[in-house]
Amino acid sequence: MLQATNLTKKIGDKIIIKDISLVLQRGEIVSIIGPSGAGKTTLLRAIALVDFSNAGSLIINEHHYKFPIKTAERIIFPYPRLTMVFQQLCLWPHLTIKQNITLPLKGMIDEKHFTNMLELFKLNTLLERYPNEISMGERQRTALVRALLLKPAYLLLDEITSALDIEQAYHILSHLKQIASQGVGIIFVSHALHLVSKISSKIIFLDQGSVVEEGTSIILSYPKTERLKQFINISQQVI
Amino acid sequence: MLGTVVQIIMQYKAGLWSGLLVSLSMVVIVWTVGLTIGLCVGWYAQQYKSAGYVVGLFWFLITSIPILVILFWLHFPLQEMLGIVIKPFITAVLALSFINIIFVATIIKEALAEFQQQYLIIGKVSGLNELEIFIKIKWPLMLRAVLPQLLFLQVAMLQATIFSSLISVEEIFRVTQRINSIIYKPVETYTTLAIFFCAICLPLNLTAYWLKNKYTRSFSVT
Repeated sequence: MLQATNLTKKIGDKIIIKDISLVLQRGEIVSIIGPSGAGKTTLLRAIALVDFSNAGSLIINEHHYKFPIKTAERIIFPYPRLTMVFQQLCLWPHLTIKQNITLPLKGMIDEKHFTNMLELFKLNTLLERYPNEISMGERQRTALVRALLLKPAYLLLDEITSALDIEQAYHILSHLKQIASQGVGIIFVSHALHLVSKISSKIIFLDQGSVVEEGTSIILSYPKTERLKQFINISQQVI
Repeated sequence: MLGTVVQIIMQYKAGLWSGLLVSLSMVVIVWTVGLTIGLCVGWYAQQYKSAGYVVGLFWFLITSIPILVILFWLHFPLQEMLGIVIKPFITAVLALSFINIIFVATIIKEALAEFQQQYLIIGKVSGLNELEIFIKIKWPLMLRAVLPQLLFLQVAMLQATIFSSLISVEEIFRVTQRINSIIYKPVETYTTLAIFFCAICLPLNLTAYWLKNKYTRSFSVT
């Protein structure tokens, strides 16, 4: 289980996220939605321990973290059982696609899993190319495959469908559902409400660093708060 | 003209060869000292702000004052003030090495400052340890970013060795000047000098250019 309790992150005096708690079970997909600047990526980075929170606590399986972390404290990171896929600069530019996805495996490649993933995400023909020679969508698929080949228990995805067309996004999301069903807990940050509603076990709506509303995908059809109603209306108008 | 150039090379080969050896030995020391110490200073200057300011200050001074003037100050007024006499070769090596250290350090410092930490974070969350991240990600990416600039700089340092003729270092430019004062064929004499420099600088410049093209290609946003 992954459990975040009262996570708070400040930059200088500015509070970016405040007292955010969430629980992620394996096999579950929790989506985080909200406007730009709501603190979605900050929350994801805090859960991934990329940036340390200023307060709160985090439990990732047997690992317990209490914030703030003392400087002298030796941290045991949960990687790659927990891993993250970033929105930008997601691939190493000096390595080919094949090298990008196999480097973290340190030579221990599960050939069957590897072949399946390449087929599933249609990367077979791209292996010898460099990241700057493929499209943004292909880069994001590569980054996702790299993370999935590590067979993580928890996968944090930051806006990975933002550069994809609607068809590609649906394609990836349908695979995410399948991956979650194999026991991977997924936290999925997105702007795209129509995609989120299809795959999420739970949705958290963030605004100005705080949780405004949370629940199953029903909250997108019957929002309780004015702020979420407003956000959904604007999103629908844009679509 | 080519015939005269060949004639000059053949007639003064001993002098030219000894001048070339002095130039090369000077530049090898300048390269070695500049690259090794400059690398460390650049890393240190990126870690500690005060060191960064000092490097920045020296960079401004060095780029504002002609090398010729720096050499002159170090060789004549400074040594007279201190009441010491240092061999011109050593003075030139010290001055050019210091200049190279500051330029190398500035390149390294800026490359480190501009390095995208995200590439390292991805390595970390993918389960790579610090050593693996350094060897497989940071070092190759850094090298690609700085290698062409460093090579171009080293070529410039080689060319800067000719300024040491001002303080009577018997390097190739001084030898060439002396040959010209005997035969007075400036075009042919300096063309001979250009041939020597081309033979050394051209491969270095071409390598730097090739590296720049090769590595800039894979550095677009990914």
